[in-house]
Amino acid sequence: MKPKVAFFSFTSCEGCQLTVLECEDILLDMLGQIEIVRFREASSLKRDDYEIAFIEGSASRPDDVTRMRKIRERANLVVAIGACAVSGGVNFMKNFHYLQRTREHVYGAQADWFPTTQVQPVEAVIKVDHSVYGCPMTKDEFLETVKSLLVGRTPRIPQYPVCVECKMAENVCLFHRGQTCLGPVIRAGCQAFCPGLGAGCDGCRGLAPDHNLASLTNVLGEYGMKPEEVRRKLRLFNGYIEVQP
Amino acid sequence: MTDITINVEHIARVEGHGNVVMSVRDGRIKELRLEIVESPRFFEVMLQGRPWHEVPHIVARICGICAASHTLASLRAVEDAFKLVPSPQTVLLRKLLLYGEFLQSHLLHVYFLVAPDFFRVDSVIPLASTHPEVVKRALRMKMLANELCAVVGGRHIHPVTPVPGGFTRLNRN
Repeated sequence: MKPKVAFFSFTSCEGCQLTVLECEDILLDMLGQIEIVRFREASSLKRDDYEIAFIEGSASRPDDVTRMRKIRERANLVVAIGACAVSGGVNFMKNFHYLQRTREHVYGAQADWFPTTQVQPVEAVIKVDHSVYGCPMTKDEFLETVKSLLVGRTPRIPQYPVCVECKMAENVCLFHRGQTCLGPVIRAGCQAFCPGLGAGCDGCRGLAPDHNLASLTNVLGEYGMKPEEVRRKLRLFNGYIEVQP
Repeated sequence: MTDITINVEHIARVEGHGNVVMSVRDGRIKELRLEIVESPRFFEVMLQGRPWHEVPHIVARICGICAASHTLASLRAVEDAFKLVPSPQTVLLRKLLLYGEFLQSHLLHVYFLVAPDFFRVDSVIPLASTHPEVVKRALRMKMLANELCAVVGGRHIHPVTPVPGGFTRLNRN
């Protein structure tokens, strides 16, 4: 029996759902192993007998919490896919502004037409069994997770920082070029994608376990970044760490 | 005369979120509504207090399907603010990125989102068994479009290399 799988989308850009469809070369093989019973972006099928639920996006509307709890009740496994689901992603930056003023700034007199709450990652609402990191998530890590769940093992997700993969790719360190980068504290698994392209890591995959943020803050200080600028930079994808229980 | 109520909650296979509500009484449409149920994001506020060089990376996240367009539009805005004119080469490469996105978005639309309706199936999945050659060709074309975006922008969903003034790195392969 193929496991029944559903995809759900909350507040996000839907780029992680699109990443699933962009597994072109392996998409048909993957679809042969699972039964997709719900995937709004790609299918009109709407069934609730799923065993594995992949959730993209954050909770940020009044009924999102209820929807997520319903999914948790029905699914055996819940997998958060992408930064918005895992840690709030860029959405979380909204939480550092006054909510009512935010609504009025964008929608003016019609602010009440667009109900919104503080942004919450999935784990702040329901129990999450696995996370696929990144903005967007990478195909490789998604496929690793799907394959692992199919054979019943824990997905192999790197616990070391981006620097490890960056060194293995033999990139010249961006700090040597006078640029800055969050690679020393951010979880690897992206193959140092952005530093490899000459762009400093923005931290979309979240802090690595056992990171040394204090040390990186010192180094960034030597490159002219004040501690409050470091905090602001981290808020791009990781504002949640400031309130995380 | 017929009374019909149609309530399509969450239209499937569209880029974005919408509901359709229609009620017919005595053969006349009494109510017909397209509801946009997209979750509001408030990017206008998220951008406040952020450095200018982050803007393209932030607004790309408005939409994963047309991330390149949002990136390119915000690059123009930032460059306008600095009265910066990008080089002709940069403009041409940006156009290539944009056309790559057009291709990938149109292929997604035609083959993945619309085609299932014409064949009266739920998704592209059954078509992979009934019309394998067409589906495989569509996947190959989509890969090519993604590759085109990746060559210029690093990747298609949330490009990395385009920055105000040019690119962090040009692909020399």
